[in-house]
Amino acid sequence: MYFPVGWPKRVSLALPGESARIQHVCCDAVKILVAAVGDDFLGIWYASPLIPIAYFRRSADSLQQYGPSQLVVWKPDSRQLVLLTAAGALLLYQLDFDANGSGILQQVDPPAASLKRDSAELFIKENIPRLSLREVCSVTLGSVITAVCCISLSELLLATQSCELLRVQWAQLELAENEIQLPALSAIQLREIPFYVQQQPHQATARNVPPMGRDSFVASLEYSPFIGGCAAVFSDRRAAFLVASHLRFDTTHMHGFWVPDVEDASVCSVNHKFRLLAYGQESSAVHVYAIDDATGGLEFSHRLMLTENVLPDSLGAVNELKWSPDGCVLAVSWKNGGLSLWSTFGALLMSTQSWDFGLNVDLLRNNPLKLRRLEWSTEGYQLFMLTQKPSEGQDETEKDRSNVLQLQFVKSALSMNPCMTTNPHILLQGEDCLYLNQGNNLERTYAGSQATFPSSGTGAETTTDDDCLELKQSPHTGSILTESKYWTVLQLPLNYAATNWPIRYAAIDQEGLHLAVAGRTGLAHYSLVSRRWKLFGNESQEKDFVVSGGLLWWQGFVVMGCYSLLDRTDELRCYPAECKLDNQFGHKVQVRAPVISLNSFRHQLIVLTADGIVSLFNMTKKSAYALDIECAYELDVKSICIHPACIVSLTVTNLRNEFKPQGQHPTGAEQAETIIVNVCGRILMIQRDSSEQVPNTLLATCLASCVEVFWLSHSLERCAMRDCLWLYSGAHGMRVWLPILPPGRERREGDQVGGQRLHSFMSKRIMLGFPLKLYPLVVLFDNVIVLGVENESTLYASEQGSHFSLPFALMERKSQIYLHKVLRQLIKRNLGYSAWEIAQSCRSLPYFPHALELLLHEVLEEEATSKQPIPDAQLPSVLDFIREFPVYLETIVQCARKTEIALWPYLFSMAGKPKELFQLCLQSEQLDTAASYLIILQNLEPSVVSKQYATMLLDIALQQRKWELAKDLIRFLKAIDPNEIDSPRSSMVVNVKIAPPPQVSQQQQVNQNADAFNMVLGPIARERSFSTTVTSNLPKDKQASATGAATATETGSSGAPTVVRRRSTKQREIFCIDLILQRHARQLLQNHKLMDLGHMCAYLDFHLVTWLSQEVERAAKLEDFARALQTLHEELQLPIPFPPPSKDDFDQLRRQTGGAGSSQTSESGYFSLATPNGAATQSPQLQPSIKEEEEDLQQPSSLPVLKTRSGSQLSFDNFRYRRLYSLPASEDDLAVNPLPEKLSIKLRYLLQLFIEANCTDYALVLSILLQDAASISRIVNGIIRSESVLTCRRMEAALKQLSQSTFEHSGSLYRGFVLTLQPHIYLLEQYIQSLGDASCASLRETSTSSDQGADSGTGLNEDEVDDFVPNRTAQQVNANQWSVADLRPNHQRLTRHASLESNGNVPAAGGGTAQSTPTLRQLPRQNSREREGCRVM
Amino acid sequence: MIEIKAKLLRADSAIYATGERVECLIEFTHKVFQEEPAGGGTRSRNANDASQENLAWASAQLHCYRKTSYSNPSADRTAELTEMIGRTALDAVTQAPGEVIVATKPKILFCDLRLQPGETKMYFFNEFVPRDGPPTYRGHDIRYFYKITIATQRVKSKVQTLTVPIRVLPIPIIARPDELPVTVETNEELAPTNPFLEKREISELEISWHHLKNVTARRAPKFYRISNKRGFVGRFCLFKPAYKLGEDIVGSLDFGQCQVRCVQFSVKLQQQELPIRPQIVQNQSLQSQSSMGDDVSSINSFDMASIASGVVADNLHKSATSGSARDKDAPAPSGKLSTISTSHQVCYATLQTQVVVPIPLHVTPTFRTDLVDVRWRLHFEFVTTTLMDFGVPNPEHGELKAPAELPVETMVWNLPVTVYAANPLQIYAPNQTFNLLIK
Repeated sequence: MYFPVGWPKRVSLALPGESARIQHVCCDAVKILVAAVGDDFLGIWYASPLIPIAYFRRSADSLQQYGPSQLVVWKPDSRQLVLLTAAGALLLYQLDFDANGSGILQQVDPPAASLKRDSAELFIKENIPRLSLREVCSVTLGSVITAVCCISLSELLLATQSCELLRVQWAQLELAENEIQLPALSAIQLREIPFYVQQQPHQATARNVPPMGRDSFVASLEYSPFIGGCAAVFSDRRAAFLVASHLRFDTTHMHGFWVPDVEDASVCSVNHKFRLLAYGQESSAVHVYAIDDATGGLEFSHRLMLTENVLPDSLGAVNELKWSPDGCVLAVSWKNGGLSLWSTFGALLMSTQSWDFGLNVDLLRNNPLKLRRLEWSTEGYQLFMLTQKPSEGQDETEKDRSNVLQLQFVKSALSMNPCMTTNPHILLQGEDCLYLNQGNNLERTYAGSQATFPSSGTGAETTTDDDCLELKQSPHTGSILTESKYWTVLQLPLNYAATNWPIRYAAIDQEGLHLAVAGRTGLAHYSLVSRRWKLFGNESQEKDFVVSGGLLWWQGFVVMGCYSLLDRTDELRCYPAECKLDNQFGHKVQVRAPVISLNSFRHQLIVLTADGIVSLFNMTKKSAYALDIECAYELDVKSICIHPACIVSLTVTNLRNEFKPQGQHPTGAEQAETIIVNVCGRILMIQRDSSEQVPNTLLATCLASCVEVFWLSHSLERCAMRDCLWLYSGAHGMRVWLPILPPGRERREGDQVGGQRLHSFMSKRIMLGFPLKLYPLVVLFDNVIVLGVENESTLYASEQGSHFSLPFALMERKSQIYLHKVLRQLIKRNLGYSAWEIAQSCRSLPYFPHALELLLHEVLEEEATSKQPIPDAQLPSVLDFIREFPVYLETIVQCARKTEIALWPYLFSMAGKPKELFQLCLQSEQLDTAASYLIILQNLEPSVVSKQYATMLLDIALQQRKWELAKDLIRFLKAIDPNEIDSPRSSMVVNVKIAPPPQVSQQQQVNQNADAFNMVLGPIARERSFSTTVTSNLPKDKQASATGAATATETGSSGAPTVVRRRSTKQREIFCIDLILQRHARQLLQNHKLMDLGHMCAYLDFHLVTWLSQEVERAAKLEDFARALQTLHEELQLPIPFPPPSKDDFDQLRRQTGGAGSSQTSESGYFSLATPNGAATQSPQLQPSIKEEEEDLQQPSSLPVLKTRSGSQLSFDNFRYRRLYSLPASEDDLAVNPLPEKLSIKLRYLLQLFIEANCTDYALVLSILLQDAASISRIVNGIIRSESVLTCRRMEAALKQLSQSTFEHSGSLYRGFVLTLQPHIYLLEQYIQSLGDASCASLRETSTSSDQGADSGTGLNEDEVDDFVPNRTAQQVNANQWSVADLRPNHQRLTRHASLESNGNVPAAGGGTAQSTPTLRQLPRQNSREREGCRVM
Repeated sequence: MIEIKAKLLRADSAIYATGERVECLIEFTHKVFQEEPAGGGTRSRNANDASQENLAWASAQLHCYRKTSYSNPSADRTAELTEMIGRTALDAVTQAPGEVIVATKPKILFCDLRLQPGETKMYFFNEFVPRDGPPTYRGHDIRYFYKITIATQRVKSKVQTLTVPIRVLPIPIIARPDELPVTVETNEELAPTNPFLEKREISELEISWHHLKNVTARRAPKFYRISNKRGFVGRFCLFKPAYKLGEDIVGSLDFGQCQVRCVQFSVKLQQQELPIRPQIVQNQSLQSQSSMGDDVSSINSFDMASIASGVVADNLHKSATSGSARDKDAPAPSGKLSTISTSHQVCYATLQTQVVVPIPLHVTPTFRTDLVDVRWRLHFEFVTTTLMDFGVPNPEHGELKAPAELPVETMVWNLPVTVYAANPLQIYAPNQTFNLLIK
């Protein structure tokens, strides 16, 4: 869990003022000093700050005699170093502490004040020791020394070219003084010792098989005391493991194991803590082996092989392997460049091969990171990387540059402090800072409003803009998944970091409010609430102890294991967070040996000490500042581990292997009974028998191996997956040890009849494994999600040569859902009920449907692409499982649409026929889902079927006012290639996207606000011309109306090179759609649902004007104007126009006409319930819309609840009329336009269309609704000019009827307005009279012709979609009408310019009350247009 | 007893940008305590009658307060305002610890609320954070803070108030939003405008936010040659001048081919609080006139936050960096400085390194009001030495020991940067429920 940060630093470790290549860098045992070896010199550096202490340059003689230096090895006490030269000689160096003089390179400020340092951090507190370096002696042996490795404080192991291993004492080395022959403790002749091949250790015949090569010798060697042997790589590229049967290494007691399968080893490295041996290979892979405890031999663990972003064989041999100091990470570099980090058991943490190096870097040929040597520095926060010698072709600058890079790392707090697995925060530690990523990744949302940014009140909540309202029930709280990228970076306070660098342990508490860190000595803690650090007030107390073994928070106390430098004792200490950090508030308990690891569970603290004793303490909180720690029992665990240091982590828990019947230990629940220990990656569970006081290590059971980290999910409320053990095993993925509960009912019965016994042979727990894509750092059990961190990189600049041409490494938090993987495993094992229980508990999660989809998808992909028949297909059971949830239909289709078509037959053979699923969608009114099924139908069924279903869906969509959906469906229907109709579809994918989620692109158009509409007339004009000249824009429509004779001419206009037959069917298609649309439009019009009509036209490109002009005498004709007006009011949720006579006096009435106040409306208490055109006229198909209406009627006062309504409904802003809890409306509030602005714009738009289509009836009603006298006068004038007596009569009658009903109802809104209309009525009367009988004849003519039209129209209306063909005559008539319409636009264009001027004075003449002043500019055009329309007619 | 609970909808962070909407759920509960003996039925019925709680009214309002130690030039105006606020009859305002500088219109939650024992009523309050208000800021001499005040009154008793603090981040106001390239795809611009086609309106805040994203995007790197009188020290490279909260300021330092060795350096991110001195009256009027010209936002509000726009930041940038390390001429007022984060490195052996200074999420971005100007800068201190070697020539053979002392000189350099607000949703600052008990 190491993650690189930033660019690598480039450092120069050469002699001052010189530049030289560094051959090897090596840190001493305590990682305080760094030795850097150049060809002819050795430099000793202080590790942090990186400052040179001493150099030693070899003499030219020595250089000539022994060759350049290659490698350096420290003696564990840091007093001596051994240098190995190219010629195989050893040079011994002595490092002496120079007591006189305080330090080195102490910075001295100049006298000038302005040049002095003034920041505290610039005064380095670190006291860098003064050391002197001298060459002691040089040692050569008879044969060339090829490898050196330090075994202990006293001994060295040398490998020679003569295939010997020499054990040499450091002290002897010193005495040798240039002697050729070194008195070795023992010389192990490797050719003499037995070598075994794995699996046959006891067979004598296996000895020396395969035999060692004649000239081979040990090329690389590493020793580990915990393994009790060495990993070795021979010069013939064979890998071996050398081990002695007891601690005395000599020829007779040594034996070796050939590492099987590794014939091309290049390097090796040993992990002490986990007892692993890693062998790098020429083939660029790394094989990792564990020690088999039973045989003492090697056991293959895993293989590291970079596969992503890498061409095979492009990496070259592995040239360096280094385990990090804590054994958590393995760094691997390759010959051809590249660095990667792997976790202990093989999860890839980082690889530079997947970094983004920019375009001009060829990773294959010239990798910028060609590394040769790696070395971890203190605590693994830095990695020294030595680059390879540049090839000859390189430019000079490259050669001059220093070859030492230093990459910074941060690591997870888990790596040092495994007890941190219990909390839900990601905490990473750098050398002097902490990275914290908090925050729920589930963000709660209320009332369906997503907490997006910027939240400026868009969408569904516009209605509540300026109101405080009462909520009837507590709002729905959902949650959405959020990704937080920002890391909170906490820098250590300077006065702590300056002397205690680096951070060793970091801990955060469960709530994420307190942090504690421990560096080299002492401790500091931080409160995220107050953003303050707390340090020891007394600095000597801070310096007096070293935290070791772990650090954790427990109920406001920070608990740690530590070593007191003052008393020289090992202790457990606790400090309260609230007090000053001081020993007088602290609590300490002495323990016998150094603490290695600790953990807590509830009130229990488990501590492992270096003497192999696990102690369990009970903690009790006495007050806010004091606690009590008592030892409950101790347990010797030496038997289960080689060395206590091999215990990676441990915890105590009440998790049990089996479920005891509830009654047996009622009190035992408090006391945790089970100890779980991770020994070298093996999870052991030690259970306490109920009869015994102390758990017995002999009863330890091994649950799993190769485990890096484990988590326990304890008491969780929401999730069914409680009491689980979670294990992460690197390359082997995640595993969960899950309790299997019998189904609830069964369980109860079982209690009664002793069913426990019946199934006692059944396992009560199950181990499920699944792969993970990220390295888990936190498992959020409640949210069934794992969180991890991933290494990312960005390229800052591609400037060649500068160091920032390398990518800048970043960290990103990632999350992964595991729910579906667990479910799948359970279903696979026929544990569907458990799976269902788990799924049920996770249903409220926002990604639950997604998880189901993933589940289905994985199984489908796997089974459908399987080469051989599957004996036990899982898909049916998975489908059955998903069917248990309401999102079934959606899941199937979503999954199908994300998989290849080739897999569909398999899916639907199991899931049911798409047709049936489609029908189910329709039944459950999931229209969008149904639409998604269409594309599947289209691919699996003949086009006829998909067409039929699409038409069916279109019908429903129209009725439910799903305009967006309808629009897409029309697009879909039009896109069906008619040639395909008869042939079944095979594998063609149509790119039509059906049913996209609402708010697709065309909605995001720019800046259409309400004012703009009034202000900018341009767009309106454009729209008008668009709608009237539509026939030229849309040839398809013309085709639909045209007869076959016209097709030849239209080929050109449509531009589609299609065959006539095909086009005719296409026309048929389109005609069908048009029929559906027209039928629906007619229904809407007949029910006066003008708003819906408007929406429909807008979304579906339905050409209202054209259609309306057909319908003038039919649906667009109004019989009862007053009622129409009333219905419109209802639909628009306006105050009723003709209220029954009430107590309202005239004054109030006037106010109402002035502006329909809201308070009055609600006081009047009800809407008119008379819906004359209710269910009677509506076809049964219109059910949904009726429902909607009823809903509106049921809440006459319409309390503004936060109600989510379908998008298209929300458009008119009628909230003003529903306001309840508002401040009393002020006067000026009432004085504004009586209609809501948006609504009025829409109505005006409709009015315009009706006028254009010559639908005078509706135009009149709308004008009255808008109280637009000017418009009425224009209409009247138009009618008069049209010289049709019939129309005039109707109009007159209508106006009269309206005024009559207005005066009948004294409270009418329109009373005032209607009064102004009297002149028009008079005018009409006059005109009718003047016309008299003269025009009777002509009138009759027109009326008959219109009757004809009406007849054919109704004929069409009632025809079914399919049998339109025989009705040729009707079509003919239509065609005639349409051709008239075709001609019209041209006329209009011609006349328009003229009329613009000529009608300029009309508004004034019309005697409008000038009530609509803002629209004055609009009037001339409207007027002219209307007149033209009349003329054409 | 009535309990009032207020909970912000944005539970994960009580942080809002200016112009965003604060949404708050307010719950009124009539609490009945268990201690009341469950006595005879008649008694409890009587008690019921008596215990029906009645609140006369409740209102909610958002205030921005200012607390300052500056002598206040606009005291009279504030007094005027408080007078005006006094008319809303909400005492809460006067109880507050500072002067109210921005107040939204109070919203009445209810009048005459009757609660049966155990009954709970929930109300939804929402209000836009004033677009032109200052951000939440806690400085040396001045503080700005926001609170939602929920006031209620029981019949015949005092007005009780509950305050919910929120943090406000400034989003710069864009003078002419139309000039900015519109962020949504515009290819359908030519389509006719049909009032029935609902289009999502792009709010000014969104535009500002996109603008802010543009401003804080990475541009071409800027290089700065650092040298003192003894020679070239190194080259500093900064990749962008404007940052959002929570981002890291990343720069690179190249000490290759230096003539003067840099031993160590520290980079501090500092916040400067510059008081804007009360001007002479005529001067002030002049200034206000000039400001009217270029800054639309500062016309109508008397205490206005105008966040330094990109242009202003650039100007600053030039003036400050062109000057030498130690200001020779009249030093620019540095105001009250607070160091937020520090990056310190000993770079004795370093040839190339990087500077990463994190900007914490809890600080206040660059802003300016009529009283205070808060700016950000990077403060560099380079400790240099001319001693490129150990003072003695490197030996042909044998030991070379580091000297005990190293004469050093320090040079200082300031580089202004601009800090902008981050998306409030990305800041994790869980808030609790605020409640008030009225006995």
